[in-house]
Formats: sequence, structure tokens, C-alpha cells
Amino acid sequence: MRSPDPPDGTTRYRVRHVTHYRYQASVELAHHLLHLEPRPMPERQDFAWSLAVEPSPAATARHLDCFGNPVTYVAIEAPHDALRISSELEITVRRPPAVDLAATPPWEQVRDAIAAAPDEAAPDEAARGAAAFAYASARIPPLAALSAYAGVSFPPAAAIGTAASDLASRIHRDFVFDPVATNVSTPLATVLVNRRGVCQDLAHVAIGCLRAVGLSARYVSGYLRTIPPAGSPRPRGADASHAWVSVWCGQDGWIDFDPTNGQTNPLDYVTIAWGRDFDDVSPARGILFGGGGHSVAVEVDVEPVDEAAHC
Amino acid sequence: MSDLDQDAAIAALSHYAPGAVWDELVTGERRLRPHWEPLIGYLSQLDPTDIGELRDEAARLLRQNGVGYTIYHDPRAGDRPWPLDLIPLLIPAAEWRTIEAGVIQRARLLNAILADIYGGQRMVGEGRLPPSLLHANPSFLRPSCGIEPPGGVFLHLYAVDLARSPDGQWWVLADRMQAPSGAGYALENRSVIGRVLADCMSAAAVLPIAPFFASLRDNLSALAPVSSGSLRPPRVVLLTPGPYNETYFEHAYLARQLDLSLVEGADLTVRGRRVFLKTLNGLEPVDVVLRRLDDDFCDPLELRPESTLGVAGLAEAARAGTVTIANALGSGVLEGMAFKPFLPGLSQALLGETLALADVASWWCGGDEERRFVVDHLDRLVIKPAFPTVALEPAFGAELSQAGREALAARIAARPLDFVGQERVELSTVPAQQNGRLVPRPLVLRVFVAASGAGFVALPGGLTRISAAAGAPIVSMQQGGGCKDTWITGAPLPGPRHEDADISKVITLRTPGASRSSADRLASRTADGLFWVGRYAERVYGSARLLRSLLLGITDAAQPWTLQEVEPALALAEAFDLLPALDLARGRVAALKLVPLIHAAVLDHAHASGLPANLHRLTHAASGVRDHLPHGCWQVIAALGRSPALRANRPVPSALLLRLDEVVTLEAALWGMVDDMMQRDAGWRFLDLGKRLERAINHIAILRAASARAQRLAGEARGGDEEALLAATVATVWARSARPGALDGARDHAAMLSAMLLDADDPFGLAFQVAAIAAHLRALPRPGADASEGVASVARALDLIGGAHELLSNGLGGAPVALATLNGLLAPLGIMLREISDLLTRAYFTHAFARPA
Repeated sequence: MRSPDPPDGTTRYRVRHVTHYRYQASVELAHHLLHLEPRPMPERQDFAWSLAVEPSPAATARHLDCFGNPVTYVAIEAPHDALRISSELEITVRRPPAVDLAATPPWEQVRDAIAAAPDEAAPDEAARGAAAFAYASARIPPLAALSAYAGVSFPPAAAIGTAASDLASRIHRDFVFDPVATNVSTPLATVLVNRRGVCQDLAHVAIGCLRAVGLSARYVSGYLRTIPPAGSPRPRGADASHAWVSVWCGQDGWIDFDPTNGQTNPLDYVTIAWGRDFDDVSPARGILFGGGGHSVAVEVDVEPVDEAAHC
Repeated sequence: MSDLDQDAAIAALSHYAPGAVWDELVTGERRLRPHWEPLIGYLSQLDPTDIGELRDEAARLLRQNGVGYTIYHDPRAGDRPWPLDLIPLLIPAAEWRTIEAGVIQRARLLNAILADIYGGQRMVGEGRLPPSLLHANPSFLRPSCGIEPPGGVFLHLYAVDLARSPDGQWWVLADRMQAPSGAGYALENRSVIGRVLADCMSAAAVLPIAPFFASLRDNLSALAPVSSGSLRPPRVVLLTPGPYNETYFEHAYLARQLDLSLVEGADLTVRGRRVFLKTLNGLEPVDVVLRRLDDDFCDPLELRPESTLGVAGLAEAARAGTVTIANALGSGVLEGMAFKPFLPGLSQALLGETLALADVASWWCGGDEERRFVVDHLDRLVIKPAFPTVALEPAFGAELSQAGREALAARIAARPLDFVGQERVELSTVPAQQNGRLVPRPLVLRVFVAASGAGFVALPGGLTRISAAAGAPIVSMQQGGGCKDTWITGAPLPGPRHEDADISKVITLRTPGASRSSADRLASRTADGLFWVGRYAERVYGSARLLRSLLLGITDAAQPWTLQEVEPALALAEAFDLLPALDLARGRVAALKLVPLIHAAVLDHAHASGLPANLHRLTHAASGVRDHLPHGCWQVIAALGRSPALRANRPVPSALLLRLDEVVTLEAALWGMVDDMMQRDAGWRFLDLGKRLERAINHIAILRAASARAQRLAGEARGGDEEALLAATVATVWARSARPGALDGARDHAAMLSAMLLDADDPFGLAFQVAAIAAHLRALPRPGADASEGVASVARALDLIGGAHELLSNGLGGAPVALATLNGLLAPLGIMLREISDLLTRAYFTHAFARPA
């Protein structure tokens, strides 16, 4: 077996993500929007992705959303009482260039670049782009409790990387990972009070804190390897799609943090899409006509591919 | 104007005293502005009575047309009367040319900004627009990014509110882009004032506004997606949130004037990335959607998921390029006041032009300098929300206390992006009629611009709104203000004159010879609406007839009903929930105190199944389908709905009788119009089906109540045989209410019972109803092949009605009516009829409701 962290700094994964809905009554017509295809990223163009939907859709279409994520539109126009969406992916993850967090710019400098008045003479293009993730969104409203919680991690002139890392570690420490405490519609304020939730909730907390101090943070949706290296415990949240955060660090670009798992190995993460919060990149959302109640079962497997086996 | 007229005009204006603002009518030296001379000259020749008559005529025309706007919370109020002032706002043609050029340039600019925002976002990239204006703006519609609308047109109809400052300059107060309202009201105002002041209007050489609407309609068709094919004319629909929306009248009016199908979200469906209209014949493709829904509500799949007003998949259809949405989804982004300070720069960057029509000076607190300026000058600014979704009524700094200003400054400091400071404009004034006098009222002018093949065109005129009091800083019809027609005067007219007064002649948008495209295929919701108009109208009719015969009977001075005669009618009124159950043991009719109870059923809105409640249901059902009813029906239904006020303290039989007579007469008129004028198409069949089903269900209730009574009395051995008792009961109830006057001539109760049940020629008889229902069901189009359940439903309904027919003709067969046999027939028949109503709903009307997955 190969080392899970090969010397060349890459890992190739095979991901299988199956969502299976069962409806109490027949659904006459359904429209679904899927965020399952991995977004194009310059450093990983060698992926193979396929999608299978049953029953067979009457219409499918693909477009890039405003964040650059591929979206698949699927319409099922014949009566059905179950729906199975399975996404299969093979993709290589590369280790990002090492960044010395302590050497990142002071957080106030990044904040000011985001909020700077338009300057026709010298527009700061990176800051313009980052601004898309600096403001409140549907799932992450501005809450006083967010500023209060964030404050400790952002002393004056702290390096933004260190500060963000500290914030993620604190959330990891202070919040309990609890798959039954919340559901997809639990408000952020409740998560803050109860200090419990799943990766989606903890990512929202972190993003809300970062925006509260004027920084840009995005919600990253993707997968975490489910088969841990020998002797390691199975990481939390790995049995479903995972979510973490990315913070804009000025000249050092975007750096990822996982408030659900604390310190992590970047090679364990497969990015699919990013947006302002869960609503922007939810793996599947839909509108049904008919159907009554429904149940959903999700299976996610993320396995490193033993590339030697291919040879 | 002659000297005499001049004197009269001056006399008429002697009390007119505008303040220290621009007045549209007189100059600072109180001289009449020349363009008002024809109108003031005309009015000054009229005495107060004449002017009162003109005002009444205008009010009657408005009422006849059913103009109004709905109040959400008061189901009784229905439409509020439209507060149209007799005196129009007059603008000379030369001045108008400047305004027109300004608003057209503005429409081009806003369209170009939308194309940039939802396209490459070059303005943000080049540092001309702060990114927060998009990313912190709740009206920025991310799903619209990358969708390029057909022809690059985002704004098909755009409205802009203008105000005139004391120096005579016009300024922009606000832009309306996502679903601008008011153009239909402007058209309606013109059609009324154009009739009332017809002579004066032609003397003043007023520019007609009808061509604007023709141009709007042409452009909507012209911008249909190319992919829709060329074999048929494009189908354009007007998407409304429905009759509960406050400007629903305008939606219905515009749809009628522009010959568009008026649809609600549930009438449309997206299949294969195309929008379709659900009709009785199946799905019909839709090419253009003129929407009156705000951006957020248009598509529950990609926008607000809980919206039940929109169409799931609409944004995807727009993305696929198969439908034109007017205005494009996301147009509302520019309604935010925060954009205003950036417009001059954007005009230079995108059009290479200087912005001609300036905004009232505004400072967005998203910039540090601007925020400091606003906070330092709170006392002379108006603070407004930067984006429409921010919850803030405009705050006039000058009117706040020191503490109030400090609180406001603190709010601004906490969330600066949400606030804009704007200079306060002293609005110009225009004369309005008040108690026979002219008084100055502040005004805001809403001007409309439409895309056309040759760029944009402006409606010459607009909707002028005035505030209720002089000096009021906010002009709002919601807060008791009014509105006016707007005349562009002294225009040399190109070509033949158009008469706006007869709008219908001008907007002949239908291709000659072609029937209404929208009527060929009856929308499912329209069929549903007509069916319920039939049911509720008949329910009101039956209730009114029953209550009337009861009231006549108990108040007949010569020969008042005995308890025995009253009882069957009471039992029936109770069965219809019109009257409560009464204790008849008291022995005397007078002791029952029936008049106050009837009074409540006739006039009390709180009575759940009384006349006002059912009339409200009727009006509501009819308002959605008024264009499918023969001309005049809506006026009758509106008249029915104008229930006199309830005077609970003094129930008077004569007043009740007059009201019941009125209802019965209007109902008869309604059915007369339907019979006489309505084309025998599917729409008529649904209307008549509703009426026949309701009438048949009522008859069975009458018969069952009567037969129960007959059985009871026969059992108590108080009277003759059961059949005679039944016949007598039916005679007192049915014949008196359905055939008033027939009773005295025909004492043969048994013959009457037989007629009620079996006479297929008596339009009030049960057999007639059943035969009519059967004929309708056979003639209706079969639901589309995709609706297998619908096909099964119709087949089952036909079976049921066949069974009913058989029961009636064979079960009784002309033989003497045996009560047990009759009861054995009536119970299942009643159930069958109700089931048919449900089956129709399932076959033709069902719109399974959307919900998020």
C-alpha cells in the first residue's frame, strides 16, 4: 500500500457520492440543481467525473454559477416515487504551496483592502474578487455574538493566517460535533447558543466571525477522505460531504481551515465548490410537485486510489 | 382666451395660494402659466354644479371599470376607490422634450449597467463601482449572472419618479425596474379624464398616450426568443401575484389592453427548459413573460424557495434562452439608492455621455467621506435605505430631536452600507379639486419608458401622484394621497389624431380576423374560476330566494305564515347554515324573533355563510376571470358585492326585503347576460356546470329536508299521508322561492313535486340540472394525454351523472312518489353530485403545489 501522503505531494482519490430520495406519494414533476461536479481549478485538471440520475431526466443542463462552480440542472417530468443521484469522481489533490502563517499580512491591512473605496487609477483586482465573500449572506446574518466570539483571535496587528488558524482551533475546541443537534435549516444563532452542530454549522460560525471583523471568507463544499491512515481515528464528518472555510489573506491568497477537525492535512480534502454559505453550493436542492413527505439517504466514500494498481 | 375668460379664470384662482415652492399653475407673481389657459378658461366657464357633475361622472366611470387597489387586510373592503383628481398636471411640449430625452438616456444607462453587472462586471473591475454595491446588496440576483436576455434588453418597461425643485428643475427621486407599476393606472386615468374633459383636451392639443402601449406590446412580441420558431405568433403572458395584490386591478387592466393572458405562477410550468401555460387542452408554450412579481419571488428553485407565486425553473428557461422575461430577472438591483452617486461616472464610462437628468443629491454611507458628510449634516438631509430590503422609513433629519439624530447616527455607524443621505426636495405644487375649490398639492411625477425596436420610447405624460395635504414631504397614495392624469400640451401632432378617450380603438393589437389567442386555449385556472363563479353566484341566488320567501311569509300582514308553514323553510335555512337551529316548541312564529336572524344572514359580514360572505367569495372568484365574462357581468357582480351597511340595532323587514329583491334581480340579470351573450365554449360550460351543480345540490337538500319532515309528521299522525306532506312542503319552500306567484294558481302539490324532480323542461327542476351536467361533461375537452388521472376522473364523473339520470327517470318513472324510494335515491344522488365537483377539480383544475425538496 502506498503511503497516504506520498513524497510528491499528491493523492489521487476515487469518490462515490450517492443520494437516494424516497417519496411518500408520487412526484409528478421535479427540478433539481446539483453542485456535484468539481469546479475547475488550474492545479487539478486531470479529473474524471460522471453523474447518473434515476429515473432518467427529461432535461439536463450545465452552467457555471457566479462563483465559477459548475451547476447541473436536472428535470424529471414523469411521475416517480424515488430518485437516485450518484456522482462518481476520480481526482488528484496536490499539496498547496507552504505558507508561513505567521508571515501573512496583519489582518487589518487585508480588511482595509477589501473595504477600500474604488480607485480607478489602481484597482486592486484580487481585493475586488474577495469582496464577493465579505458580506452577510442568507445563512450567515450579522450577529453581535459572532463579533464577540471572534474578537479574542484578532488582537491588533496579528498576522491574518495565525489569527484565522486560532479561530478555527477555538471553534474546534469550543463546539461539539453533534449530528443530531441541528438540521439543514437550524439558524446560526441557535448553533452559537448551543455550541453544537455539524461541519456545515461550524463552517458558518467561522465565516460569520471572519466577516464580523471585516474579512472575506468562503464556504467550501467537498469531501474528506474516509479511510484514515493506519492507526488514525476516522475523521468526523467524513461519512457525508464535508464543508470547511477559506480565508482571503491578501498577497498570500486564499488559505483553507477546517473548524470541524482543527489542524489538518490539506491532502485529505477534495474541493468541489465554494460560495458564501451552504445555500450557494448545496450538493442538491430541488422543487417538487407532489410527493408528500420524503426520506433521504446519503452515502459518501472517499478512497485513495492505489495508483500502482493501474500500472 | 378672451378678456372675459381671463377675468373668470383670475376669479377662479383668487383663493389659490401656493407656498414658496414652484407651482405648476401660477408663477411667483401669481400669473397663470400660459399652457394652463385652455383648461382654466374651460373650467372657469362652469359653475360649481357642473364641476361637481364632472367629478361624479369620473367617479362613476372609474367604478364601472372596477378601478381600485386592494387592501390586504380587509376582505370586506375589496377595492378602495381610485382617488383620481379631475385636474390633470399640464406640461408644455417643449419642456417635455427635455424630460423625455433625460428619461430615455437614463433607461439606456440603467440597461447598460445591468448588462455590465450581470455580464463581465467591468465597472467593478475598473474601480468605478464599489464591489460592496453588488455583494452587500440583497437585490443583486446571483443566479442571473451570465444570462444575457434576448436582444440585450433588460428593461422592457421602466418607471422613474421625478420631482421639481423651487427653481423649476426636474430631479430624479427613484427608479423602478423589477416590476414597475403605474402605467396601467396612467392609461385608465387618461381614458376617464379623456372622456370627462374631452372638449378641453382637444383644445389643449394633448399628446396621446395609447401609441406608447402599442409600442410596448409590439416590442414584447418582437423580443420573443428566436428559438420559439416562426410558425405561430409569440405568446406573451402577464404574470401576476394574484387578486390579493394591491395593484391587481392594474395587472388585469394591462393584460386586457395589451391582449396578454393574465396568469398566476401556478398556471405556468417549465418542461424541457421551456415555459408552458397549463390549459384545458394541455400545455401551450409561452415565449414572453411580462412579470409583476418582484425578482425574489419569480423562481422558487433558484430564488426564494418558499415563494408559491413564481414558476420553478423560470431562471433555467431564461438561461436556456427559451423565454424573454420582462424585465429581466435581477433588474431590481439598481433600485437601491446607493447607486445614485455613481450614475454620472457610469454614464461617462458606459455611454460616453453626460447624465442629463440628475438625481437628487445623494451620499452613500458606504464611503468614509460620504458617511462623515451625512452624519455632520443630518439636520438637512433625508436618510433613506441604501437597498430596498433595509427596513427603514425615510427619516427627515430636520424633524428629529437631538436624541433622535444621535440614535440615527449610531445606526449609520453600525451598518454604514445600509444608509444613504439625500438632499431634501421641496416638491412643486399643482392645483387639486377640494370642496369645489382649487388648492395647491405637492406632486411626484412617475414617467414610463419602454424598450422599442428603435431604442427606448417614453410615455408622453405619466402618473402624477399628489399628497393629501400641502407641505407633506411624502407623496403616497397609501397615505391618503391622490393621483392625476398628466397632459403634454400644445404638441404639433404628427399624422391623424388619436383619441385616447377610446383606448380600445387605438390599441387594436389583435390581428384582424384572428380570435383572441389567449381565449383559444382556456387556462386551467380560468376554467376553475368560472366554475366557482357559477357555484357562488347560484349559492347567493338560492340563499336570497329562500330568505326572501321566508321573510315575505312571516311579514305578510294579511295572512302571515303559521308555524307549520314556517317550519320547512326554517329547516332548510338551517341546513344551509343561514339561520341557527330554532326551538319551535314556543308555538308562535313571532316568538322566534326571526327578523334579526334574517338581518344577520343578509347583511352581516361576520356571518360565515351569509350573503356578504358568499358575495365576497363570488367577487373574488370573478375578479380573476372578469375578462372571460360577457361585458357588463363584472359591473353586476360588483353591484351585488356593494352590500349596504349593517345597522344591527334596527333590523327593518322592508329594508331587508329591498336588499333581497335587489340581489335576486341582479342575479337574474347576471344569468340573463350569461345566457344571452356568452359564447358556448368551454369557459361557458364550466360556468354553467358550477351553477347546475350548485342548484342540483341545493334541490337535493330541499327534498331531503322536506321528506324528513314528512316522515316525521306522518309518524306523529298529525297529518295526511307522507306523499302529500312532502309535496306540500316542497310547494311552500321550492315553489315559493323558485316560482313565486305560481303557488296560488296551482294548488296541486303533487304535480309541483313531480315537476321539481322530473320535468326536464323546467330550468329550476332537478332533472334539468342533471341533463345539463351530463351534456357539459360530454362536451368538455378531454384533459391532456399526460394527465391520466384527469382522464379517469372525467370518465368517472360521466358514469356518476349517467347513474343520476337513470335514478331520476327510472327510479320514479312517473309513478306516485314513495317516500322511502325517494330517500333511497336522494342520498346517493347528493353524494354523487359533490363527488362530480371534486372530480372536475382533479381532472381540470389541480395544480399540485410546489415545495422545496
